[in-house]
Order: sequence, then C-alpha cells, then structure tokens
Amino acid sequence: MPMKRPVLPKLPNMPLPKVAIPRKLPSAALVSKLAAALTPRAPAPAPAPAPAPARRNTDGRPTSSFAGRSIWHTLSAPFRAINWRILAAALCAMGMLHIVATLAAPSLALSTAYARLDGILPPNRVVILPPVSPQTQPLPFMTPALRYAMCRYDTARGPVDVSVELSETGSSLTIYTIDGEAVYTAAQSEVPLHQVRIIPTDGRFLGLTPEALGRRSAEVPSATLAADRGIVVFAIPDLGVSYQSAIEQHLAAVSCKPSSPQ
Amino acid sequence: MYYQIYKLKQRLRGFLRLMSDWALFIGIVLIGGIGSHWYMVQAGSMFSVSRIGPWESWENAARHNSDPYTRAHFARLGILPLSTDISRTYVARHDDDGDQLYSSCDYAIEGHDFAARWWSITVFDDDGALIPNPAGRYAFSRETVAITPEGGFVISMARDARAGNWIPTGGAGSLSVMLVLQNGNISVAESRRQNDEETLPKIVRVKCR
Repeated sequence: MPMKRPVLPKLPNMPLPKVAIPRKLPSAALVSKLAAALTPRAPAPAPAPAPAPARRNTDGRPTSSFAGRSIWHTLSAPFRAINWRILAAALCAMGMLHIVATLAAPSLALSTAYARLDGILPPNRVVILPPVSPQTQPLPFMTPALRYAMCRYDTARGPVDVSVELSETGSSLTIYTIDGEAVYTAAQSEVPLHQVRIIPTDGRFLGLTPEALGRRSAEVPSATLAADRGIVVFAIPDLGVSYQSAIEQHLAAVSCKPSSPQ
Repeated sequence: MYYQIYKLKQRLRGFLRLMSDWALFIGIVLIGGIGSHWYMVQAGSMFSVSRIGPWESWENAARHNSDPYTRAHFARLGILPLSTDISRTYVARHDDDGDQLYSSCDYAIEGHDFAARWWSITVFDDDGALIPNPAGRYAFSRETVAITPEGGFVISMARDARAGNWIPTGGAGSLSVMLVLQNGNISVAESRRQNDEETLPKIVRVKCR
C-alpha cells in the first residue's frame, strides 16, 4: 500500500530575522562562561562578621594574649607534626616488650646459677665444696665466710629427701628451683633437724603412704614441696682452721638422696 | 611534566612521612622497652631495692613470692643469694661520698657490731669475683673480725698491708663490698624491724694514688 504523503500547512509570507553568523565556533570556555552567566544566581551569603580588632597596648604593640597565642603556635609546631596514634601504639608496644622481656629473662639468661653448677654437681648427691677462693669460686658474690654443701636434685624418677641439721649460728638451708627461686628456706632454730621431701610437680601417683598400708612411718618430713629440678644449698660459717674438722662433720651430715620406697 | 614532578614529590613526601612514623614507632619500642627493662633489672626501683647510703639491697631476693625484676636480676647475675626471709644482703659499689670504689684507693669500713645473729663483709671485684692475694684474705665475719673495746670495727681495704682487719684489693679495678646480715628464723615483720634499726657501716676513702 503506498504511503500517504503528509501535507504541510502553508506558512504566512513573513520575512525571517537576520542572525549574525560567527566566523569561529565558540570555545568550551566561552560556553561555560555563557552558561554561568545565564544561570540564575543564588543569593549571596551574609558577610562574615569582621574580626574584632586585636587588643593593643597604649604604645600600639599587641597585648600578651595575642603574643602568647603566637608563641604557643610556634612552640607547638613540632608537636603538631607528631602522629599521636603512632605514638600511642608505640607506648603500648613498649610496655608489652618491657613485660615480656622481664618475665622471660630468667629463662633466657645464659649463665644462670643452675647452668653454672650443672656441670660440677651430680644429680641427687651431696657435694661438699672446698673453701671458696678465687680459684674455686663457682658462683659470683659467693662469700668465703661460709662453707657450702650442695646437691642438684632432680625428681624425674621420684621424690628426693633432704636432711640437714641447722644447729650452728649462721647456718642455713635453701632449696632453689632451676630459675633461682627459693622454695624453702631455714636458718638455725630450736628444732635443728630439717627433713624436706621434694616431690615432682606433675602430680603422678607416688605410692601409698605407710599410714595407708597400716604401718607406722619411720621418718616424718618436716616439709614437703613440689619442684622438678634445682639446687639444695647448705651453708655454715667458716670459723677458721681450728674448727675445720667440726665444720667438715656438719657438711658431711647433709643428706640428699632419692626417697626410699615405703 | 611539571604535574608529574609534583606527583612524584607528593609520593616521596608521603613515603618519608610513613618511614618517619615507623622509625618513631620502632625507636620508642626498642629503646624504651629494652632500656626500661634493663634499668629496672640492673639498678632496680624504689619498689624492689632499698638504698641506705652507699648500700643497696634487693628486698625480695630469693623469696618464694619475689617480683619479676628481682628474679630477672639474680638470674642474669647467675648467683644464689640468701633468702631475705632469713637474711639481708647489701652491696656497695660507692663510698659514702658517692665515688666509685676503686682498687687504687684505700678505704676504711667503719661500723659497730650488728644486732643480727651472724654477719659477714666480703670484698669482690665489680663482677663478683674474689680478688686473689697471697694472704688469702677475702672476708671478715662476726667470728673473725677484730672488735675494738668500744664494740666497733674498722676493716681496711688497701693494696698494702695494714694492721688489724685488712683485705687486700690490689689490681682489682672497680670494687664491690657485700654485707650479709643473717637474722635466723624470725617473722618478716620482725626481720624488717631489725633491718631498719641496724646502722650500716660507713665506707670512708682514706687516700688515692
């Protein structure tokens, strides 16, 4: 079917207005300028209140508040460059490092007393040390005014019994752990005999007590403590050459041995 | 071209700022953390160490409930101190004038007999080692010191022989003096009261060469 041609209305005969044709097309900047000029303008904001005139002294110099603000501004300039969040995080990390280093120091120390004595003391046996001299001094700050008997205890195979008589003035018994912590300390007292049983810390079954078996216990320890490894130190004052034999007897009387089965 | 240089400058400035922040962080953590740890373990604080004149004593030495600084201090030194439950150990590295003890000077330790049951004064070098000497003199105790009729004593620390209580110190360099006061099995409160009442000896410099 043939398409019908539209019929245009007849325009009145009137002259067209003359428009000046530019020789060049307007640039983008000009277009934006025109657009900005044609868009309706927003009402202008109210003018900001004028700053109060700076207080000045009678001679025209600024007053102290203005000068103080300026000095403070100058002095605080370096601090404004500090990243305070980084600083706070660094202080927290510093505290954590301080705590960790302090708590780990006994374990990380290379030459602890236990490590120094480990090579010269057999396990669970008393060793009477010779009089302390520059050649025989096993540990720093060990006074020659005392004579020592030591035992390196190890409860891996079972309890260890320690027996010491503290009858002399100045004598002492100290049981240290591997970290140097004293878990038992005694000095001369009215009851001189000290029998200490050192048991393992792992809570293993150590057998029935004599009382549970219906027997009377032959020895009752004066103290029982739990420790795995460490050093037993018995110290007695060195009274001089005249008393050497008596001191040697005291040292030889110290006992440190695995606990006998009940 | 200028824009690229500007961007490069901006990036460099940001990188330097980041690096300075990290340097500040690592510096504070390492210097502050390790430094404060070292100071608290080596020198102690008012909470762990008591200072009387030139004498200083770790208050919780070898105690079952000792603080971590005390444990770290003695673990680092590698010594087994007497427990403060039964005794008190003082160490002096300076004389009463605050000058470091040195083997080229002569000193006099002047004091009175102590109320403690047993005591000893021993002279070491700065590392805690005994000072070798032909006389074999390293320490004096209640049993071995010569007491004056007034109840006092004077211990001379000198290179050359002195009359009375003499401890040779020649060639040792820096010195440290250890005083041990043993009270025996008494309560902690009683031990502290006795220690507070003890008058510790003076360390007087006689002369220096």
